[in-house]
Amino acid sequence: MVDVSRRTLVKATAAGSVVSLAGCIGGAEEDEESLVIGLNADPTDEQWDDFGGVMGYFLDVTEPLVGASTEMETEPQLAESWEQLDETTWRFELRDVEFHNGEALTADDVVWTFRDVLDREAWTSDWLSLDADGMETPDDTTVVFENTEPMASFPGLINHDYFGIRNPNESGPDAGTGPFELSERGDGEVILEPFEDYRGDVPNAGVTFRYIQDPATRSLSLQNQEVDVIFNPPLNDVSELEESSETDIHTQLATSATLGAVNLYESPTDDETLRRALNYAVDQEEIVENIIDGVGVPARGPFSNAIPWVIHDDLPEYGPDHDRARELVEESDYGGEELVLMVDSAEDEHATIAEHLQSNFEDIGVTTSIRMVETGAFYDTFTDGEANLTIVAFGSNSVASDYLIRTMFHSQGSDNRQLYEAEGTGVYNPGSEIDEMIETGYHTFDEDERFEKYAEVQREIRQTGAVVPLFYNEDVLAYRSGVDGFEPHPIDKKYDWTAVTVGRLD
Amino acid sequence: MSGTNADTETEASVSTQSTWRDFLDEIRYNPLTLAGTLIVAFLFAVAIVGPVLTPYDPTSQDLANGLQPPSLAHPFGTDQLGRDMLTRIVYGARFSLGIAIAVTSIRVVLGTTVGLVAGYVGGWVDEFLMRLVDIQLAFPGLILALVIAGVLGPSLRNVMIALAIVGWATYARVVRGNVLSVKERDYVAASRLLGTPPRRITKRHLLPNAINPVIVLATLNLGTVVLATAGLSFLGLGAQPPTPEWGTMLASGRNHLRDAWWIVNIPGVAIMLTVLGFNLLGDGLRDTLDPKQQSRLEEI
Repeated sequence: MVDVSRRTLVKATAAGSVVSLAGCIGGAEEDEESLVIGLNADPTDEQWDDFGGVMGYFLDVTEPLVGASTEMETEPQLAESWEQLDETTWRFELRDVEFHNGEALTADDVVWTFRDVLDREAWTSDWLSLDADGMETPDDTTVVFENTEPMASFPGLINHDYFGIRNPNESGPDAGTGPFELSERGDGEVILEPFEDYRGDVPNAGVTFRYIQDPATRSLSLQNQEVDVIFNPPLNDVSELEESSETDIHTQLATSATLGAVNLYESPTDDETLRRALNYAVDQEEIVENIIDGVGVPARGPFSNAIPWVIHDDLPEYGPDHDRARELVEESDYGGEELVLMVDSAEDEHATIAEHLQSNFEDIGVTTSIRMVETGAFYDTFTDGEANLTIVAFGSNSVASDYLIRTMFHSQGSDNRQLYEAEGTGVYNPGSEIDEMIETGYHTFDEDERFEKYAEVQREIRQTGAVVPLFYNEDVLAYRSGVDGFEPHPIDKKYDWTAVTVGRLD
Repeated sequence: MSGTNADTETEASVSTQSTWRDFLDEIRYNPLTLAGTLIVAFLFAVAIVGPVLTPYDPTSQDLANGLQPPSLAHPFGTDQLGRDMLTRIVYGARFSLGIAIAVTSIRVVLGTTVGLVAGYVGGWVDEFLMRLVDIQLAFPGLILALVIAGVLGPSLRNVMIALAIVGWATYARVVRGNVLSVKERDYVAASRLLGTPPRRITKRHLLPNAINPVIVLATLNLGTVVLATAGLSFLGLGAQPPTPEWGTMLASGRNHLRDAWWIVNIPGVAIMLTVLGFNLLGDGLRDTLDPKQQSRLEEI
């Protein structure tokens, strides 16, 4: 047995303590290697340009011609400038930048990207009023777009994620010009590294986007420091994450709104008086307060207040007033038929809201049944007009949210087009008068006139009860306390991670 | 002939009394069977009497009173819409037990009929029916039920149809096996020679010999049907809100696992207890009704 003196023991203990302390101090140094973000959509989805796919990182890798400020205004991005040559013609001057693979960005790359999207997503042609042959490249840094009809909001529309400019010689989103370049991709995870030759500020740290489907697991991953940031934690975890000294919360009014889309062409909701009764039965403040834990803003209209042309304050309030609702039910042609309330089964809060609406409607004498539809089939079932009222959440992914009003309420909008073309009906498109208002607003270059037309549409939609507004969504970002420097945006896909500092403690 | 009938009925009566006595002995000497019997009896009592006793409506909402922990007023707490959880659990027992009984009954009737016909008629009919059984058994039950319920659309009725379709084959195979072992016996052959119609032979001789394993299987099946129903409802294919079905309650409360444990744990415990009860009871019935198992126990 080794004989150890007291002095030796004290020395050894002291040395051990110093080594341990040094280890702790060393571990406290900031690790700027990578920011890990937990996403609720799989960033490795094969549909890399799909809304449910990589949009969470897409714009960090590729960039559109036109950017979006946090005030939802257009600003130069890959296009240094642009000008309108006449009612249908736009000229964009490109910046002198390189793709991640070292090749220079040219006007042909822009045309290729637009043609690729127009080819694969045929409906975007109608959306942008742009044909595949409506683009010219007078020189390597100039692109001229020729719209098929006047399109005042064209620069804002092409800010959409779809039109991130890609290199035709590379496949997938790894051929961008953005501040991050793709390092690894697979197994539900995408790793991005700073693009050292970026024209602006090179990002402080890399970013890893990790798919964590279950909201509770996302929340636990943050609390266990497996990730640094998560989008959309469970609503009931928000206050706990906010109060914790180790985590923080950022909420941001989003461009999306949650609403009940009422089927105007299916009995008995084809009756305007009944639709107005349903609106009188709903208490938006109660829903926000008690069901979504205050994470949202009570709505009056179908579009989020984050969108510049929304006239929330000027829209009429309905109530809640159950007595008035009952009177309207009496006045209507409603004969006791059962209304179908449809909900996406993946949206837990929507199911709870549907149960609450069902209870409110029952109180005014309207019976309903709830139908939960699997996510994959939900949108088709909605556009097939199979429900009387569908709970949906729609928002804009581009700075010009004009397309949203067209998608939702124009007869040729994607929500209504299928039934309109097949049967001359639709889902919640009130008809030709609204179509004309939308078209006028869509094409006029007079912003006041455009906003007034959109205001008329909102008032008409509200007046006729084509929707039951519920709340304007708030995006919730939960992050570890050491994380700093990210710039939020009303469009969640456009959060800026370039200036973020990770500040991780080992 | 009338004397033969009287003898058979007397034998049947004596046999039934003996079975009951055996089962009571099983309960007396096997605490697990006793526990299973008590659990199942309690569940049936809750399902029948409970809704009369509870003061709340299972669907009436009180948002201001949401997510309240268990208290005297709400012994199982309230859910996110302020509904009394005890009331919803009690009503949920009706749905779970009702569906389990209905589905198992359909399985028993369908499977037993196919088994009797296949075993008694034999030949190509037997071949055909047994290949059908093989095909059905080749598919994993719950996955097939998921597909059927998905195609038919989400509702409790469709879940019942899906579960009934996937579960009858085991009964058919068990019954056919028993029929094959009995139908060549002398007393069945004698009965046939005396001109007794097949329907009567089936009723008097074949079915009574095949019924015991069917009862055991059915009892064990009740638990799995409760579990499968809750599973399909959890996935959104079964009961639709606001139906107080246990699986649906689990699904709607899963995001509150950390801040309101009662919303998820109480329906979970209800499902677990129900499955456990039927399994323990089924084991006890098997010990009573399965002679091979019984003789083995006696040897021990």
